[in-house]
Amino acid sequence: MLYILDEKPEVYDLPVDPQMPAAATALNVGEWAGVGLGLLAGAGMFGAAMIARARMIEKKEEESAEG
Amino acid sequence: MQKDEKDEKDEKDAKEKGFWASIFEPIGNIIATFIHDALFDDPGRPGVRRFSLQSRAFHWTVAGLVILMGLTGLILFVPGWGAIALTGWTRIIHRICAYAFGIVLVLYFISYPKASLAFIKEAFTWKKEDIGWVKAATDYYTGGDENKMPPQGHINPGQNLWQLITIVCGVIFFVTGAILCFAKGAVSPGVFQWSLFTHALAFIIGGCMFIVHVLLGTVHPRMSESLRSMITGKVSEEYAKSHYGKWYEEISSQQ
Repeated sequence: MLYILDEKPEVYDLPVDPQMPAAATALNVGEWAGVGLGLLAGAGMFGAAMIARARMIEKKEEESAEG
Repeated sequence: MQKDEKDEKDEKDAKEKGFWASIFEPIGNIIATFIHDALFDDPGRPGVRRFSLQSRAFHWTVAGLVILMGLTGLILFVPGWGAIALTGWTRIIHRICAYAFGIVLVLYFISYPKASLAFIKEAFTWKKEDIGWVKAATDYYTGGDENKMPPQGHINPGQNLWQLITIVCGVIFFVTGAILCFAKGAVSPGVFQWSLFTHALAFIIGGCMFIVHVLLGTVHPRMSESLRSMITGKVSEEYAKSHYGKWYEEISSQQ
């Protein structure tokens, strides 16, 4: 919803120089940071799983080659 | 000469297939484990009992509710996804799941107070030897030498951290969620906005740990019997010895 004021803000008892609340700014930053961290956590864990898998297969092959 | 080239090509093809198989195999394994262990597991199969029936039922009930709350929360959280929530159903589902989650927690606590208090106590108990796990963790979880990991108790410090985060984030979710649900207009806009931010912060921390928890329990080769143990309640003796050596010794000496 959009309100258009006919008069200056002080006429309606509104702040003359309104600022974005710190909590709202923090939330905006947090949303993007959260998306980034979530993707990083997923990629990191998936990567670790793939590396572990490759190393474990390699070790098994070495062991079977040694007999 | 031609034969050598063909062999080389076959070898390269096999390697490429191996790479793709290594990606899709874990997904197939998860589905197969769910179907097999939930429907066809032999109750007489040898192994060590790790999770009771009530704790598994509680885990999966909570998991279902958390996934629903997480998905609906994600729609409200991710910038640009808000349009999906315009019909209002996202918010309704989110709140219904939150109420159900609260009821399930209270019912479980009343029904099993001893186990619930033990869970909370376990989450807040940290020992000096946990440093050994932290030091060995990076190499261990990237497929390094298993023997370098010191023997662990019923849960390792990583699982302990997960338990702690579920409790701390759970409390934050309920307190801030109650303000967002019931106190709009009753509290100052500042308190309301900071509650929303704190709710989101708990979602980021809890969500990241949830992703790690799910991937560790399903696709990570080191935790190969983790998902199975949460379905059937059992792990093999070898797995118990290698992953939870201290706990295995404790339960073996009790028998």
